[in-house]
Amino acid sequence: MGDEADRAAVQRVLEGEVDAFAEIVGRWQGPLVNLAHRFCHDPGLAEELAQDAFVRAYRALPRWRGESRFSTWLFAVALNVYRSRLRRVRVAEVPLDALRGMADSRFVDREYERRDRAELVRRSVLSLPEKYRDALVLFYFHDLDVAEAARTLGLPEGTVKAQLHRGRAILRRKLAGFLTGGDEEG
Amino acid sequence: MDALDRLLTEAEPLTPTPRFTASVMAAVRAEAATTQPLPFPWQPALAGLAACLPIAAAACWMAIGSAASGGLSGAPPTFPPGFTWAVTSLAACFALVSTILRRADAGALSGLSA
Repeated sequence: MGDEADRAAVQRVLEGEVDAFAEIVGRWQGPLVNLAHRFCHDPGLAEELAQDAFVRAYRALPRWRGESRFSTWLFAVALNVYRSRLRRVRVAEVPLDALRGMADSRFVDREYERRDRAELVRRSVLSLPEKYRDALVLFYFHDLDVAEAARTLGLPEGTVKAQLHRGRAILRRKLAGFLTGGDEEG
Repeated sequence: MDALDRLLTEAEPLTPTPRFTASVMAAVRAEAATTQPLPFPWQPALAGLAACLPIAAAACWMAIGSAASGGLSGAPPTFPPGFTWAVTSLAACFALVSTILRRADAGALSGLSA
């Protein structure tokens, strides 16, 4: 049903009704901003990246063949925009040594510690090589759906599974002490 | 689901600012206003190419005839008086067509193929 609404809006845009694109923006702004945020962990930059993605999608709309769901195509366009921008703009990555240091420190506020640890682990994904980073970000963004992550990446599911396995293995190895420290009570 | 999965799954959702849609639509409208692709001028281009064909054929015919007569007599080939004009016209036609092709932006070409 959502896809039908998207297709109808796309048709209207292609017929010259530019304002129909606002429907698409309204429907997909949340997911695109959140996906961008997972790549940069900066709310301001995330909106900037998402805006670039929407403009790129608008420009490429005549080339959408309609074979896949509109959202799949939109995420793929956004992913390309985010990747190319992030190659030029270095996002502040978390040095893994800092994470290990945190595992040994004492925090008064346990909830603050838990949220802070989660944020730091998510940021540590950005230190992975690009192919593992993209697979992991999309896998968790799509609620652990390998098939959807594979469609967004334009890769076979088997390839994405292998990249996930490898990426998670690297993270687990690097975050070994950090993941076990303080997680038992949660 | 282990500790790593839990930590990576529980990202707090980020809500776009209220101005976000308006900002995107302003950028989209600007894009729509600036990138109205000019249709590629296929008719003049094809007319130019069609005009090139007889000139090219005439030039080839003269060149082959001249080379053949030169080869039989053993003397170096001599070109008829119109040959230089024909070659120059041909070069000018190709330059014109290639300039038109270069100026046609990618948007116009993709719009034609869509």
